[in-house]
Amino acid sequence: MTEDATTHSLPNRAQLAGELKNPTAKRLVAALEDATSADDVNSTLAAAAAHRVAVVEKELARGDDAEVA
Amino acid sequence: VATTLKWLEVLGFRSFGVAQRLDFAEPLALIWGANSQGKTSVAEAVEFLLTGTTVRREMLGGDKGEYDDSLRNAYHPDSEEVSVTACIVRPDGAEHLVKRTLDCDYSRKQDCETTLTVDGVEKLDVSCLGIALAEPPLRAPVLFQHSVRYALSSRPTDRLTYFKALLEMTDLDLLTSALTKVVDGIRTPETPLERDLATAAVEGSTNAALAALLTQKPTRPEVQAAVESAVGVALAQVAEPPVAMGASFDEKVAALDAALESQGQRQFDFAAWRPGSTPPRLPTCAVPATSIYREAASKADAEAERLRALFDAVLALPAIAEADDAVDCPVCETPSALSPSRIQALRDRVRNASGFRQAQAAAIQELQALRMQLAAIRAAGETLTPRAAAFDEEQHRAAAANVTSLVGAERTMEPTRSALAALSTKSDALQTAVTSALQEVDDALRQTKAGEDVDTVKLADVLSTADGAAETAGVARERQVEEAGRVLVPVREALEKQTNTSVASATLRLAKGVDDLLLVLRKRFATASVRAEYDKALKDVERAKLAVFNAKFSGMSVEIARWWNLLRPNEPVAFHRAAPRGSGRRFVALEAKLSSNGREEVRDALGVLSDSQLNALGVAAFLARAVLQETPFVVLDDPLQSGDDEHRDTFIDCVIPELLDSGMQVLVMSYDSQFKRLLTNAQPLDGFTVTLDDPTAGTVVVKGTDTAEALLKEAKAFLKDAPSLRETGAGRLRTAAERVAKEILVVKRTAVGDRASLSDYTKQSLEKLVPQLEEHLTDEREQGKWKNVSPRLSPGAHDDEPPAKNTLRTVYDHLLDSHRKHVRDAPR
Repeated sequence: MTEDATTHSLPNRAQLAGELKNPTAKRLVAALEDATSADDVNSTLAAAAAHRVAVVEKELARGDDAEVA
Repeated sequence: VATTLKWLEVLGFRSFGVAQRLDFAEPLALIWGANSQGKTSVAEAVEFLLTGTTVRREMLGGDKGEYDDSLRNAYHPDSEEVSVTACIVRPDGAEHLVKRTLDCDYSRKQDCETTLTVDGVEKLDVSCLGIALAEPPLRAPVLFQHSVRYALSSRPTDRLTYFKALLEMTDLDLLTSALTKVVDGIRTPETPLERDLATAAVEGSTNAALAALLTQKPTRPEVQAAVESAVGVALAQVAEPPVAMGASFDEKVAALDAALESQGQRQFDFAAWRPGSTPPRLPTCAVPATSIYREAASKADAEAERLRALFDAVLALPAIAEADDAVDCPVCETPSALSPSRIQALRDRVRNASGFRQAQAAAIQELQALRMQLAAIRAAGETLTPRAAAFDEEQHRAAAANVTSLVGAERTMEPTRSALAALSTKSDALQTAVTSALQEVDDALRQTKAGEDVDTVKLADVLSTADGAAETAGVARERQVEEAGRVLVPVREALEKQTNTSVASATLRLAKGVDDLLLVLRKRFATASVRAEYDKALKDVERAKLAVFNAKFSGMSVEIARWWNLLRPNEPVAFHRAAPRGSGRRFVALEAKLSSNGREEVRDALGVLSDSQLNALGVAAFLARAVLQETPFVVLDDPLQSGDDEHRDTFIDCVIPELLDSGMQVLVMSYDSQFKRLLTNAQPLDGFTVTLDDPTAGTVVVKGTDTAEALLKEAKAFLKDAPSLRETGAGRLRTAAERVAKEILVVKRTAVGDRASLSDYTKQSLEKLVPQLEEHLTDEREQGKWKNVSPRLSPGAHDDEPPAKNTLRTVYDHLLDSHRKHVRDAPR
């Protein structure tokens, strides 16, 4: 059995976060706090994008429902 | 107290053969040896231990195949392992045994493979020891000559990569690259409804409301209104007679559908090729309740079943329910007929009979549900095969001719017919299997209701066959739809064009799926807005990354300048700074400052620094990284360039103490005898001499840098033709001869019980030592050779010609033989 390394894959993440101004960028970089590999980074960002699209879709649907009500 | 390397053992790696161990007691170690003796192999052993690879293969370029089988010593037996082992001491004092074993050497097709263990447990890397490796390519804190120059001589983009790695910045490149990929991926594949929308909106000039849906935020009322408007336009084009005023939306859609179907059907019998719906599948092919029923039936007997009501009543009587001893039977009045054990047996039989009832009811329910599912499959099977399956040859020929006239001869109906025939066969098989299964279920129902045994194995078997047939028929249907679509979709499109009904057909499909269209438009709008949002986020991340890069570069630049000033103090040309060039995305500038008479000029360092200065810059960059990264130890393989004697002193007096003061353990390799002497005088250190006399045995490590063997090896390098070298060689041989004599004297005296040490002979010259030596040597010929050492090395006055090369060689051979005979190989 091998033991995985637990080093963070983004050692400069915190410093980068301090420089960010865009709220979406801030949110995305914050979501990477626990990323420990390149796969983590890729999957976290992809999942965040998919979630965001779903949220906007829901907001549109909610707007429609509110109008109907 | 930082993490330290306590000892290192190398076996079969590079120039090493037999295991050699280096023990480190001091924070500074000097590994001295002439060229090609194995110094670099020690440095590479540390690198291999930490990283499992050697950067030489990556950096020196060329064909990687040139490094095939380069890690295992060529003479090391295949049966023996190749490994590097070390004892690493953590700040808390805990010692850890770290071992890297070579499992498979480099080959043309693959990298080497290794196994790393820490205290016998396999690990992926050394992070568990608190040793953080840098980013590639220079991962280990080991400075080689080839890596010193890598950053300076490589292409500008490589140089940027190198400095980014030094600054540990490649993680942010990874992040922006991942984010760019995500932004690029924020899109949805175009759906058929979007294509219809584009057709209806673009081609229908009166459908401006539809066109607006492609760009605006979609709301249900607007989508509905736009589609209704488009349906009205389409109806006006194709419907005969016109739809009645006041018709509902659904009625208009139905009218449009009928009109288009009629127009299309007149040209081509599409419906004949349309299969029925996919047959449903059975949720399960097993019948668990029937199995439970069988089990319950085997426990319950018919008599108990018949008398269950009576038994229930008897067992409920208080006299029997609470009986401790045998009681009379309340039915037949037999005295003491019901003993406690008989009452218990009676209860068991009643319970089994009750269980049987419940199981029977569940089995019947399950079988009835199953029957309904099978009936649904049979119903689907009956309409599964399209009408065209019953076409005769003439009808098929007519259909094929129709297709050819509409879309050309390249689209043939043959594959569609073949798929149709397959579907027909599968459909028949399905009906047979389902009929058989229904028969079996009916039998099982009848048997269960009658309380008879049911063959559950056979039942499961026919159900499985029926379900398999449903699956196969479904696959055949998919294939038929696919094959028919290849021909019929172009045929329909051609017909729509011919009859000018493309827009109307697209509008119809939109009208039939307004809810789906709304979902598609929401998805489309959401995707576009999130993509724009992420685009802005990506730009901000890029900007912030550059800010981090500049800040880190600035810190790095200051640290490099500090080491430069230690290496090269007070020079007219000095390192000025390292900074990203332009946007910082592609290049890094290394700047030098030229100072003269109070005037300063900044120039590109690569253009103005000398070769020796460039080497110093590479060393400064490496040391800066080591300090910033808080590396616990560094390995410096020949950090001073050959001939760079003037900076030897600054390295020894400034650089080494600075590294040691920062708490770092330093292992330095050098070929330079003067460097060895000066460093040994300047700092307490562990000295080692590496020699490679027998390539088969490999490099040998001897503790100490002033041993007789080390001094002889040092002198040997000067046994050349050039007078200046011979002069130096004679001096070195004299020093070596004194050491050999002293070691022999200590060995001889110790052998007879004296307490002897080298310090007994401090400051004694060869002339004083040889007479003492003669007392211990029995061989007169050897005594004679010793007497001749001094006269041979100093033939006359200092300005005379130095001893001849052969003379020096004779003295060297004698000293070597004598040392081996009396010291190295002497019995102890």
